[in-house]
Amino acid sequence: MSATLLDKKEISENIFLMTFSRSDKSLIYPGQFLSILHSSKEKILRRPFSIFSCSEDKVSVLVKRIGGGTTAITQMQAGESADILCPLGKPFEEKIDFTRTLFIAGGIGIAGINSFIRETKQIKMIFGDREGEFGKVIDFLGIECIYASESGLNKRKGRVTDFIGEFDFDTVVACGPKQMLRGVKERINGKRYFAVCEEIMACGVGLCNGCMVKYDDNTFRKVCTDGPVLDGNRIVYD
Amino acid sequence: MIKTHIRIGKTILKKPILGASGCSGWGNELLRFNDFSKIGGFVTKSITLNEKKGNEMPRIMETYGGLLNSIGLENRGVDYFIKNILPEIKDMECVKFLNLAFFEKSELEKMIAMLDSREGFDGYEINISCPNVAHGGISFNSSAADATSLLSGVRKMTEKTLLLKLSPAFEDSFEIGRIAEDMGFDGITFTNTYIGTAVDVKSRSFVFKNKQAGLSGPAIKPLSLMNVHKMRKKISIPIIAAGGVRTADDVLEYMILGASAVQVGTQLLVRPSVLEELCVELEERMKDLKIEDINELIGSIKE
Repeated sequence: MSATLLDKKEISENIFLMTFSRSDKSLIYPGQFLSILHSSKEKILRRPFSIFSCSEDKVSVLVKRIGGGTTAITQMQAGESADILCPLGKPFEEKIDFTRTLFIAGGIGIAGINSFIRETKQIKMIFGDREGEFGKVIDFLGIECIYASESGLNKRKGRVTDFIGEFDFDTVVACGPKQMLRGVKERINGKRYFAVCEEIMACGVGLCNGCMVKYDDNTFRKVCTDGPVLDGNRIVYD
Repeated sequence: MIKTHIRIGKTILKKPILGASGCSGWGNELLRFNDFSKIGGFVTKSITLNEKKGNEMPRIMETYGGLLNSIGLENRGVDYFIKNILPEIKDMECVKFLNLAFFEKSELEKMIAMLDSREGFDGYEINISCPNVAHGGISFNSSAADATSLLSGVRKMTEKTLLLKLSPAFEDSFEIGRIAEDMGFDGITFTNTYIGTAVDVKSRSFVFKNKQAGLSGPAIKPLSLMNVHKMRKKISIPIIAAGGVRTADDVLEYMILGASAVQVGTQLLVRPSVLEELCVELEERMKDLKIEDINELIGSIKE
């Protein structure tokens, strides 16, 4: 799908909010993602990003500049055309009671959570990073949450999992590094747990079986087409 | 009127471009991105007699201009394929080959016996070149003598188009190609991926649990071009070339060196719509170069 980069904002060092035009009219569900073809000659695969926000004619993603692919993407200028596959991933259609749901995000995992909380910012949420490097992103979003940093540079020192006990909930939606997702599973005593998974992907559309996670019965799920929202209690976090 | 039809065994390809096994899913994933009436066809993921779970993660890693994979033939087995997948692909408007992988000869024979009376596909691509399983797979490809005993009798089991997919990792592949021709195979798919690896420097360990993985993508194209050229000298049945195809000119290069058709693998993962796009591009390029029939191109290299 051909799209145009409409706007690029550097929200924080190395973290960009990029907004593209979209021509397809398909509904976009929480947890879905898109993939961007980039101009790096060194790396060949598209890069997948959680759909951060969307409207009928626009779609935004949060891009953290890490390697060759994301560098090429964040070097794009407004007005440039882009080759984007959107939306990808299985639509998440479970009912969630916001008053009984705890949202947990680690680092750039905030992008995967943001699509769940489009309707209301009145939510129970814990956000965590290493050294407060996402401060500007959280400010930008205007979400009330417990913001924990491992370094203690923020108000709360520790990991997101240290603060789960402060909430009363029966469902968790979490997105972040695998260790965090595992930590959440260990602390919620089998409560309903939707893990928004991130995995290195080759195709993102179900062709290659490259982006698997393993379930407790030794079967695999594709993050790209069975997920990215999977049963966090059943995932084996190696 | 530009002619792009190619014949391989009993199969007529409207365009000489197929999706490669492992990168085409079961076809249905590609339907969202390609009009199947406008493409050559595709080869399914590998089917094994029994379900195979596939390898542990990581299964893929990007390299400079390429991709390492260690998927491990993950599939639900031939029974599941017949009940659940074949009904879905049966009416797709393009050529469909089933890639069959196995660990003992009897497994291959059982699969063909179960599949052959059924409609909805054009033939088989017998895979003795998967680098990502410990037994079977590529070990069958390492010696011409082993391959001979393995493949003898297969031709008698089916009248459908029969292809053999070979690895570039063994010199014996050229001899196996010749033996397959003598046995009545209709074509050779060449090459599968190259055996490669990667090291994690922090932990000083192999990135992949199996140590080795298969390298594909633009990085391997010159190697596969040379291998196709060498294979062409050995055999006269059609070669279906594979290795880093991205553009119409890549297709032409392989065909000039003697391939009758090509398979697109890694590029399908990057651009799932590439089958249809390449078919259009190929016709335009043929017009530019005043090529009326794609068949006149095959093996036309000037030496």
